This record gives sequence, C-alpha cells and structure tokens, in this order.
Amino acid sequence: MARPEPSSSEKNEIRLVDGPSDTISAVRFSPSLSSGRLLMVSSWDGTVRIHDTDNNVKRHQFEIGEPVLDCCFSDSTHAFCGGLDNHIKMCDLNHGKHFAVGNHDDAVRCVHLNTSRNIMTTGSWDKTVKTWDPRSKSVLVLSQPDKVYSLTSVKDYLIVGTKDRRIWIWDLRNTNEPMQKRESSLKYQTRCMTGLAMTSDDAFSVASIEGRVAVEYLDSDPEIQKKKYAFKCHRNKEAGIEMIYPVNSLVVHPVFGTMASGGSDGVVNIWDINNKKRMSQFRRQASTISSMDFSKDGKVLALSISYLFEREDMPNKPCEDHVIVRSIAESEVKPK
Amino acid sequence: MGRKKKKPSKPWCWYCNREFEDEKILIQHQKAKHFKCHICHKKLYTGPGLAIHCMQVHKDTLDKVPNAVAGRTNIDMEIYGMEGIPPEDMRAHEQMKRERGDKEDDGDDDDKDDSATPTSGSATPQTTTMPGAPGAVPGMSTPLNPFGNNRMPMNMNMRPPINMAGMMPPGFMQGMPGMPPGMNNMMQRPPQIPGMAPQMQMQGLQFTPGMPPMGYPGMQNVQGGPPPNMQQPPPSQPWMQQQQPPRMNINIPPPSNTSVPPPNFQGPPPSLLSSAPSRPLFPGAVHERPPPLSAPVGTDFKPIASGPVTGSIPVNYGAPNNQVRPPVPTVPTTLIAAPEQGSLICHPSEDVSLEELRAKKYRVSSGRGMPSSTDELRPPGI
Repeated sequence: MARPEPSSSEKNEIRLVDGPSDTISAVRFSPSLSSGRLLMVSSWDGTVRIHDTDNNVKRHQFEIGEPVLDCCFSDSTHAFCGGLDNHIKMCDLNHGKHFAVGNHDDAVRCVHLNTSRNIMTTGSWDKTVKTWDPRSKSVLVLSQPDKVYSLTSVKDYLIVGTKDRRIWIWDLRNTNEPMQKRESSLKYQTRCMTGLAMTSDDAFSVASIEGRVAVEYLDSDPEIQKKKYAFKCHRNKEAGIEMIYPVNSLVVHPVFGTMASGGSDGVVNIWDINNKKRMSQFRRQASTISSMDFSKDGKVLALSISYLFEREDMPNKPCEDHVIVRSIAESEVKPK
Repeated sequence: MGRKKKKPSKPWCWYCNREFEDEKILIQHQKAKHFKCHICHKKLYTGPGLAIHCMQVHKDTLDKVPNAVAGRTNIDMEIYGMEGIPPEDMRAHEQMKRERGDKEDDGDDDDKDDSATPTSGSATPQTTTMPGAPGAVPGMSTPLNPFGNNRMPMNMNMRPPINMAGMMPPGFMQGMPGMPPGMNNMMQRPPQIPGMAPQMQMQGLQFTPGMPPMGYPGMQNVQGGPPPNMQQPPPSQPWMQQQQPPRMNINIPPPSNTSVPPPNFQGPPPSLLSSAPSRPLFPGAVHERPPPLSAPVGTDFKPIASGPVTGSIPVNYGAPNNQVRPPVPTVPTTLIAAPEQGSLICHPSEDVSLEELRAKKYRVSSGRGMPSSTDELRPPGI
C-alpha cells in the first residue's frame, strides 16, 4: 500500500486543519469564488464541513449524524448531502442550518448536480435515482437496474453507473424511460465516472476498481463508437507483484478539460483525453485518494486522503484522514 | 510442398486471394494485412508466428488470421508468400484463373493499385469463398478485402465494426506498455471468467422499465406476497398498474408537519430529529412515498429471493432485535475476477463497493440496523 514519502515537493500543498475525524467521502468546491475557494468536505464521521481553503480555516460544520457518502453544492450558498441515514439533507451556508428535503429507501450514495438543467440528482442503493428540481419543487424517481454507484452528467444527459457494471443514460428532458442501457466497457466494478465536457462528441469516462479508465461516447453511431478507448492506470510494481488499485475519483479541469484521476495508490494523474496522453503525475500521497475536486478557476485541486479499507490484509488506516489542497500549474493541466 | 511447378503466373495471397506482381510485394502485403499484431502492430512472418507473439507478449489468444476470407483463417497454416499453400488450393486457384480467362484484361489494374481495393460494394466479403471449391472464388478482380485501410484493427474483420475500433489506439499513452489483454473482449467478454456475472444471469437481472422499481418500498417484500399497501396503490403511481415507465412527477402543495418520526423509528440520531424540518423543501418528495406499511418492514430490504439475482450478497444491515427477519436464502457471493498472474487487485474479494462493505460493518457495529426511513417522514393521517 502507499507509504508516506519524504516531503520533497510539498510547497505547493497545504493540509487543511480541523478536518474530519473519519474517512472522507467527498470534497467539493463551491461554484462561486466570491467568498474565496470554499471547499465542502463530507465524512463518515457524520459531518459536512465547509473550509476556506485560501486561508485554511474551517468556516462551518454541519452535524448530519450518520455517515455522509456524498455532497454537492447546488449554488454558492446551498449544498446537498446524503448518506447512510437515507436522507437527502440540504445545508444552508448562510444560516448554518441543515434539514432533510427527502429520502431514499436505502443509503444515498451519490449526490450530483446536473449543471445544464440545474437539477440536483441523488443515487441510492435502493436502485433509484431521484431528481430534485428546485424551481418546480418536483421530484422524479428514475428506476435503475441495480444499486447506484456513480452519477455524472453530460449536458442534459444523466449517466448512472450501478453495481454489476450497468450504465443507464437518461435524458433529463424526457425521463419516461432511459435513453440507453449499456454495460460498462470495463470488465470490473464501476467505481466512478465523469462527464467529459470538452471532447468534440459527448463523452464520459468510467473508472473501475481494476486500475483502468474507459472513455465512452454517448452517440451510438458506430463511427462515433469507434473512438472509444480504455487505458490502464494506478498500478504499481511492488516486490515483483503488480498492484492494481481502484480509481476512486475522476474530475475534469474546468478550464482546460483535462481529466484528473485519483486512485487508491495515492497518486493523481492528469490526462489529456483528446490526445490520449498522460500530462503529469502528482506525488504519491500517504494513502488512498478517496475524492478530488478542482476549484472553479482550476487553480487548485483538493484531494482527500482516506484509506477505504481496500486491503483485507490491512485493517488499520495507514494515516490520519486529511485533505490536501494543491496548487496547480498551468503546465500540468494545459494540453500542448 | 511443390511450389515452383504449380506456381501460377502471378503470386497470390492464400489468405485473401489477391494477386500480386511480385512475391516480394505479396510478402509485404501478408505482413501488413495478415501477420500484423493488432495490439502492438508488430509485423510477424507467419500465422503461427503471430499467434505465438500474441500469446507470449500480450497473453492474447488469436484464433483467426486477420483479414482472411472465410475458410482461410486458419492461424496454424504456415504460409509465407507462396510457400506452404496446400496443393488443392493451388489447383483451385489455377482453375479459377483459367475459367476467368481472357475477359479479365483489366484485372491487372486492380492488382497493382492498393488504394483502389475498396472499390467493390460487396458487403459480405467474408462469406464469398470456400477454399478448394472450384469456381467458388468469384470476382478475383474484385478485391475480397474491403478493408483497404491498413490502419483498421486487423483481427476483427469477422465482427461488426462497432466492436472493433477505438479500443486500441495505436501507440496509446506512453507508460502503458501494450494493450491490456482484456481489450478485445471488452465488448464480448467470455462468460466463463470467474466471478463475472454470466450473460444469461445478467439478462435475468434486467428490470424492464415497466417493472416497478426495486427500491419501491412496497416491492421489497417480494417473496412474501404483496405487502399490504400493494392492494391500494396510491393514485399517484399509475405506473404500478399500467406498466408505464417508472416516472413520477408529483407536485402537490406541502402538507403541514410532515416530518414527524414514527414511534418505531430506530434510534434516530438527535441531530437528525432536531433538524427534521416542518418545511420540507420538496413537498413532492413526501407525497411520492407510498402509504406507510401497516406492519414493520423487515430489515431485509433486498429482493434477494425474488429471482435469479446474481451479484448480490445477503447484506446484513444489523437487524434491530425486535424485528423478525425473514430467512435470507444464501446467494453465492460474487467475487471479483482474478487479474492476470502476478497482479493483485487492491480490493476486497467480494464484488461489492467499498462503501457498501464499510456500511455493512458500520451498521452492525453501531447496532442501528438500517434506518427505516420509509416510516420516518410519514405524512400523518394517511
């Protein structure tokens, strides 16, 4: 597993203070930069925290109670979160209050904002996705083939990755039935996905627990489908054995469209999807990268370092759960 | 084998029946078209050589020579240029040439120009010939290989194009030696891979959109017959009866005081209670829920016994003591497929997400069981 390495190039990293006391499930930056780069951090310790990453201070802490599995800003002052209590909670940053707005019948695994239609979506192990339209205050329930493991969007399309490698694609303008039903092109469990905004055709990437990422296209035209590909990553030879790590997080740079992948090997890779190149690799962290997010200006990347108990032979955390905010040089993320 | 005396006037390719001016060109053609590794694009010399290369370098079994016409795909044939062609095929070729006779004056043009090959509109080039059948090699002047484009992935001419391309970008990504062996199989995985849900069972799992969503609370009791509320589905769920796609769009004015926790709610965290609002942001969310169950819901919220469900394991959510658990039939745990030798996937062997495994432990250790939130926001008076 990842070993702490001597801190050579950590000048560009800060470690947030007052972080969660248990596994960090998600880090998400605020869509607004007006009050600094605010980072929301959800955790298995039952909290959702708001950090000002520019000044490294914790601004607020919401006590949700039960482990929180995901969170997402809906606008600059509101956020949604969900977790093992099955509830979808809305956190009001202005008033520092949170309240339940709805629920699922099993744990809420994913909370995701479709920015194209400004619809909050939640995916649950109850095999449904619910969409929460804040304007009409209406809720839709979209049945999925299995427990929801990952949610992402491309434009108006909602992409739902479930257990057993299913991927269903929904058009949020017409949710009567899924637009497409697919299987992941990867052979192993879907771990995370992200929409790829800056490809010429609508595309998204899927990562599996087996150190691999696929780039898939929405258009079912065979000519477009030919463009899909997959590649290995987040692997490491250790004592003659190739260790293959889950890829836990995929995020797209908001300015340059390059994609970052974070794995259980503690490494972050930056990929140029269009040119099929790895652009840079960040130093290995002390443990699993459980979640990542770019700030909206793309100048910093937040990483949560949290062991996810991937290894059955390693029941204890190798390090404390913490959040690193790393400044990003343009050369690291800008395609040549 | 007799080569010189049976050699036709022009060398020809046994794999695709094309004729060439020169055996050198023929060999170049074979290396480029038939003996090129689809993974690393190395050009080998013979079919068996290619097969051994793929096996040893990429751990990939190749059973067909790429771009060969039907019946000539045998990878074990040791053919190099004109050498190694079976005499009967040689004779058939000669015969066919003779039959074509002089009307084929223009044949030379086709043979010379490589780029002119994809001229034919023949959509089924693979099915045209059977080796050795006299006269069954029609249209020698019509190139039998429509894939004039050398960059086409070569091993896949027997498959629909959707499966082929894109999977193996040439020279993709430095630092990623070779392409993963599973690549070819990405779209058509052999079902015998251990731990992988076989195709048949996957079908069984597929819920048609018309079926009620499995997460619908009323449906969770599948093995025990319909739960009480099944007989009176609320009018807001027409899809229950009409086999409509699962969609609900309810927009009902907010009821007052909708968030009262029911008495049997198991151990709600205090903060949850205090924060449960009387002003739900999404009042619709309350109403789309079914009427409360008249009996406490068992903790086994999984429709395990309802059908050929694979890939799921009986998740023990840590049953609250006062509830009767229905017996959970043992469903074999799906394990993640073992990677190739010398590799180790850093993931528990069960093919369940890390979060679910952790949640299972958490729920057991906290003794909470799964919060029965179906009851929690029960609108009063229904």
